[in-house]
Amino acid sequence: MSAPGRLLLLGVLLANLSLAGLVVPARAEKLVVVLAAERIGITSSFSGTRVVAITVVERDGQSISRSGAYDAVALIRGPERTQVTRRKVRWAGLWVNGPSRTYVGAPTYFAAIANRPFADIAGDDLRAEHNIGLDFLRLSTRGRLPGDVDDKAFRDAFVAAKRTDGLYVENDQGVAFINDTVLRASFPLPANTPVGSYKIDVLLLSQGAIVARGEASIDLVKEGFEASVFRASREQPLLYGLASVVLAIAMGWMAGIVFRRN
Amino acid sequence: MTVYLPIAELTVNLFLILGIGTAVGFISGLFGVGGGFLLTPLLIFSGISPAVVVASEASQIAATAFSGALAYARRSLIDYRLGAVLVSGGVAGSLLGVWLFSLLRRVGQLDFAIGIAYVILLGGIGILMLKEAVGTMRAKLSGAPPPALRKGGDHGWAHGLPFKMRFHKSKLYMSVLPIIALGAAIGMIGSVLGVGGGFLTVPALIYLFRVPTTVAIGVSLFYTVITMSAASLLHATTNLTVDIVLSLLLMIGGVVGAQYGASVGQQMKGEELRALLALLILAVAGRFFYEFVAIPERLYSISIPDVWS
Repeated sequence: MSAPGRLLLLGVLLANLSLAGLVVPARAEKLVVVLAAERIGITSSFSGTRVVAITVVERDGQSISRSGAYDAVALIRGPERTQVTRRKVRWAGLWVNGPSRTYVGAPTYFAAIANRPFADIAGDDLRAEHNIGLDFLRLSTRGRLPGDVDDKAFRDAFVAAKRTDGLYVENDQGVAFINDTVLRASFPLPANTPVGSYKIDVLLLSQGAIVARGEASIDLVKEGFEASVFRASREQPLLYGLASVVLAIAMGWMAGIVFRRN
Repeated sequence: MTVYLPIAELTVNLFLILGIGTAVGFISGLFGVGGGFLLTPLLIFSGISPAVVVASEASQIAATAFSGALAYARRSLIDYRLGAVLVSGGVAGSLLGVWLFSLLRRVGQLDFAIGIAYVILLGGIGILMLKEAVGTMRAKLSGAPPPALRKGGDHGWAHGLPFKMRFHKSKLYMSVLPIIALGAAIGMIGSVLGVGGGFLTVPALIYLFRVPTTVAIGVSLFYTVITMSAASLLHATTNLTVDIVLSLLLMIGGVVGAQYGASVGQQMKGEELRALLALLILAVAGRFFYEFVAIPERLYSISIPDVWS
């Protein structure tokens, strides 16, 4: 880690909340998610970061005993935006943008990480229900034609392009159990990660079923000078534009003086 | 060393951007052009979105043109009257261009429009320049005098049009209509392509209107300062895509590079410079043409249509 603060500890705290006299739930594992830091600041030197999550699983006395170990999946969703995928087609001998698919409210960032291959952890129905893995990420299209064979090609291309950019992540070794009840999950946020709120969902599974869930969120925000510049460009576009013109004239004028040759 | 561009929302290598700015500045100083036609593709290839590139480099081009215009103004080589008429068309053209830019971006054909415009404009200009430069070189070798640009008693092709005006410094007496039309066309092309249009303005003034070369360059610089400032302002208020940090980095590289380019350029012959510039322009046009005909590496592309709304 290059700088302190780059490493964020996401502690899912063991919170001993079971009070005497409460109704005993059928499933008694608990995950209480607490973030060590709730925001990541983007400054001029931001070059991506890695978020590390430490999760502790509590089993109280009434927990039904489970045979076999736990599995864990962490799903991270960045801000949602409408995104368009276009396919190039040949037109009069030239390659131009042709048909497109619009994904409404698709996450700009998505990571699915687990402790072992997703297919071994959960069945397809459960994976589809909870977006476990990139193949099962729900993406809703606008203006979709029923039975369109092209849809899968567009979807695959969209996911592949996002993976290339490091914005869609799938890693079945990203979660590690340190012991029976403590696990560590980590996921990368690349330099081109969009700003906004990131929702983190931790799912604890046993024998293909979810036994506990915990969630947290982390905000990626521009800080300092970068934040001021961005705000100025949105709130005072005219002044901002004038500033860029004045800057240009001043630079040109200075260059004219400094390098003046007679 | 990296730097985060707050509007492009992307981290770039500081030295890469400074290097691109300096290299393009060197070429712009060497040939006396704005260099936007090189800057746009280089920045797009380095991963910055075309919308941000075109909007941000407008102020860089204004800065480079302003330092050039100052030098021409000192030698009183700027025909402000001709410049003002050209600008009146240019501002209208820029408005139209920024609107067209938003429209093309919305329908997903911005890359195609920029690419095809580069192929046609640069290809055409490059071939014309190369032909002219090689012709001059040949004529010099064979000892014949180079063909004169301006023949005596030649009033040009736009003689019959109304609203005539006298432009002393440019040795012109002609209708303002074709000048306004030229300004509008270059303003529109400039704000869509993110180029100053010097490579179009100078030859147009020389070959169409028979303006003396040095005055044509002075007027072109004056025109570029005004229209690129307007384009910068328009992009900042309509498309919200001006990244002032990117602009500043490009300006720093650009003004320094331009000085070295200019001093190298003074040691070379005019026709050699023009031939080199023509080859460079043709290379860029060829690069864009190749994109269109070669089987694309990535058949699919992703865009976020309303990221700034």
